[in-house]
Amino acid sequence: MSLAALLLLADGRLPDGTHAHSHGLEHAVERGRVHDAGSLADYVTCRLWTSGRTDAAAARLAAAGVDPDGIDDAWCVRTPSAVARSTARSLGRSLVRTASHLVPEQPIARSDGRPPVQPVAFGLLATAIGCDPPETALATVHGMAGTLAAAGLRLLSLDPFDVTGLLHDLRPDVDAVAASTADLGGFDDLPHASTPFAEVDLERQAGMPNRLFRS
Amino acid sequence: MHRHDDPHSHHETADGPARARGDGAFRVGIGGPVGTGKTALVAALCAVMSDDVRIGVVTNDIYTTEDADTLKRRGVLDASRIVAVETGCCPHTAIREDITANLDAIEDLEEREGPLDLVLVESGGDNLTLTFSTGLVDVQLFVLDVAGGDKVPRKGGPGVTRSDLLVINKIDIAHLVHADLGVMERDAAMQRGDRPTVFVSLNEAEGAEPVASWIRSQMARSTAAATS
Ligand SMILES: Nc1nc2c(ncn2[C@@H]2O[C@H](COP(=O)(O)OP(=O)(O)OP(=O)(O)O)[C@@H](O)[C@H]2O)c(=O)[nH]1
Ligand SMILES: [Mg+2]
Repeated sequence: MSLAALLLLADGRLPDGTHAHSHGLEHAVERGRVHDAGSLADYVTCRLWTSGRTDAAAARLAAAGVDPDGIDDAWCVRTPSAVARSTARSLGRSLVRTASHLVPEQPIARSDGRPPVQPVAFGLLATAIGCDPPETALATVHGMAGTLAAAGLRLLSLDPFDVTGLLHDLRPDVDAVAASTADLGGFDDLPHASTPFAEVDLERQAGMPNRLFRS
Repeated sequence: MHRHDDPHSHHETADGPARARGDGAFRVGIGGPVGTGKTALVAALCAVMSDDVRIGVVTNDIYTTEDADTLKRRGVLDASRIVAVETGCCPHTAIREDITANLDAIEDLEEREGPLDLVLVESGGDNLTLTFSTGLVDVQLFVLDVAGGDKVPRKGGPGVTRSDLLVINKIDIAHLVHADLGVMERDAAMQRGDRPTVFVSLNEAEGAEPVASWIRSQMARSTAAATS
C-alpha cells in the first residue's frame, strides 16, 4: 500500500475522462427528481449502495489479481443499460491511456484487445501504482461520490459549501460501501443491487438533445 | 507530407507512447471566444488546403454537435473526416487538463480515415485564458474578431499572449463596429513579442490563405525536425 498512490488515484484532477459525465444525474435533474442539495444527497447515496457497490467490488477484485476478463463480463451482465456499458468502456479507454503513461510496463487491456470497463481498468491501474484492494474499493466509491456531486453542483448551480457538506455527511456511507466489498471470492460474487432509476436516467439522457454532460 | 513510413516516427519507447512531433498527423488547435470564426476558419482551411493535404477535423462543443454538423453541411470535407467531442460543462478542461476524449477521437479518426497529414482541433468557444495542452496539439491558433472590440488584444490572457498564431477575423466589418485595426496590431505586438498575428476576413475561403501558409510552414518544420 501507498497512501500517496491512493491520494493520486482519488484526486479528481486525474485525467480519466470523468469530468464530462454525470452518469444520468442530468436526466434526474431535468425530470425534477433531483432539485437541491438534499435530493442530490439521496441520489448519490442510492447510487453508492447500488451501482457504486458493484463498481467498487469489480475494482477491488481486479486489484486483487482476479481474472480481469471474468470481472469485466460479470460487471456487464449486471449492467442492463447499454449506455452505461458503453460509457464504462469509453472511460476504461481513458484510464488505459493514463496508465500507459504512468505504468507503461504494465499495459491494461482485455485479452481481446478492447479496453476493460472503467471499474476494472481502475482496479488494474490502482494495483499497478501501488494501492491495495481495500484502498482501491475506497477510491472507487469516493470517485463516484465526487463525480456525481460535482455534476450536481454544475447542473443546479448549488452552493459549493452545501455540496462539500453533502460529501462530508456521506463519509460513513463511502467507508461502508467500500468495506462491504470485502470477502468476495471471485467475479461470480460481484454484487448486483439494482437501481432502475439510474439505468433509466442513463438511457434517457443519451436522447436529450441539449444535454451538458456526455452521460 | 505524412510521416508514417518514417523510421524515426516510432515512439514506442520505454517511457510509453508519449506525444512526440512526427507521430501521425500534424495537429493544430484552434481556440478563441464564442463566435469569433473558429468554424469559419476550419471550413476555409479545408477549402484552400484539402487538394494536397489530407485533413481531419475534431470539433469540441459543449452540448451539441453543431459545429461538426455545420462543417458537414458545407461539404468542405468528407463527413467521415469530421468528428465531434462533447465536452460536458467545461470546454477548456477537454483540451487542457483532461485531453483523453480528444485523443480518443483523433486516434479513431486516424485509424478509420488515415493516414492523415493534418488534424484541426476546434475548441468550444471560451475565454481569453483558453490554451491547448501540448499533449494534444503541436501548435495552436487563437481566433479573435474585431466585433469584440479593438481592446481585446490589450487585455491579454494566455490565449492572446501564448498562442503560436493570433488570428484577428472579420476585418470586413471593422468600420461598422468602430474597431481600429492599427490599435489591435500594436497591442497584439506588445502582448506577443515575436509571435505572429494575422488579420483576415473569412467571408471568402481565400481569406484564410495567410493562416494556411503559416500552417504549411509549421508542418514542414515539424517534418524536418522528425527526420533530422
Ligand atoms: N462579417 C464576417 N462574419 C464572419 C466572418 N467569419 C465568420 N463570420 C460569421 O461569424 C459567425 C460566427 O462564426 P463561427 O465560425 O460559427 O464562429 P465560432 O468561433 O466557430 O463560434 P463557436 O464555435 O460558436 O464559438 C457566423 O455567423 C459567421 O458567418 C468574417 O470574416 N466576417
Ligand atoms: Mg465553432
